[in-house]
Amino acid sequence: MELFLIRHAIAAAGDDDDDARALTKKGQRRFDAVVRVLDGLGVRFDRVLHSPKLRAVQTAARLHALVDGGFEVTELLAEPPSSELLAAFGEGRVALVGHEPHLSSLLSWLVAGSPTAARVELKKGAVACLEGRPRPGAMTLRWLLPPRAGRAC
Amino acid sequence: MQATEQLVELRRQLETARAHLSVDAVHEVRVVGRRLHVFLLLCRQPVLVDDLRWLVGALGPVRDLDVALGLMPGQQGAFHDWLTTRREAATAGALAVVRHRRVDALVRALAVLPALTARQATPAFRRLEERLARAWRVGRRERTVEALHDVRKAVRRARYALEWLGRDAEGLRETQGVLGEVCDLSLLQRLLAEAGAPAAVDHVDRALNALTAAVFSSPRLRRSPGKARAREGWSPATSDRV
Repeated sequence: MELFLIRHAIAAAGDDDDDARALTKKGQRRFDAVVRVLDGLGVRFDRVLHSPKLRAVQTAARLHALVDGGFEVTELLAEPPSSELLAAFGEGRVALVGHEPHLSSLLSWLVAGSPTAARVELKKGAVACLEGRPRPGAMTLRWLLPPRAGRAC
Repeated sequence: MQATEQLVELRRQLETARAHLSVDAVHEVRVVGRRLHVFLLLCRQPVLVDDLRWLVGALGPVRDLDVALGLMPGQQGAFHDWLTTRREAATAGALAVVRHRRVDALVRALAVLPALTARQATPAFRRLEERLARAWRVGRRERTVEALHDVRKAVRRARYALEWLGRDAEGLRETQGVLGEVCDLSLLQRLLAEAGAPAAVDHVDRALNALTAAVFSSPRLRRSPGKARAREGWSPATSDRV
């Protein structure tokens, strides 16, 4: 399978309710540029799993044009990575829209076998593409797209 | 407009449904789910729609059986027993869905959606109007039960959209009620066929065809309940934040 780990775009600073932090205009604009790059690369998703936090919901919504299948909200992406999360991936080309530090832990777990084995920096709006069986240590990092790639296009 | 009030209702109905999948709880979860679906349509929000559709759809088979049982109150017999057995069998799957973590995530995500102004809702409302007008045109041309199903769905969405906008949707509510009776009969026909009662299916089929023709010929419904009627209830020019 192909797995795309996507950190939410730039959001407003935290207030009382972390769930309610919305994307800023800048975050929307920059992530739209990332989506255009993904589109240019021919990236398409069969499914998008996303966290219930507003910034992840709004980031997932901006991927809409690249989604052949459907969206699914899951609290597992607002928590440290778990076996339950791996079981939720299914098959095909799946995008995960979530948060740090959970996404880089997940990346490390899937690629290096441990959530702390590899140090990865996923900036807001970054996309990492993994390929292989979704098991600890069984996936390969194919590429990592930093958000500034969108500004270069 | 905010989803808050309907979200409170969804939480309340889910709590009831998780304890006991009663006829009312199944119905109310589906109604609130569909209202929230229309809210997402008005927001032009593509995310969470699939989750709501999954929840509402999972309760569909149970609701269908409840509707059929409701059409024959107090009756006993082989078909009634067949419906009851099917309802019991369908309940386990539906309960698993209403108790699923995905529902908790859905409610959590809906709770933080930003408010929507009438102005922001205008383009999506126009599309719902157009979809209703188109469904009605197709329905009058084809005069089939299937087309009538589509009209009913479009009427329901336009009605909920008007209600979200705080406007009068009484005309559409009445229309939805009339169309609902035809759809209930169509459902009964399908379940009778599944239960292996061909004589009863033919009987219902005749009634259904007559009723469908009557609906499409009705002077009250002859005028499209689409654009014109929806606009009676709401004009974006006079709408402010609701």
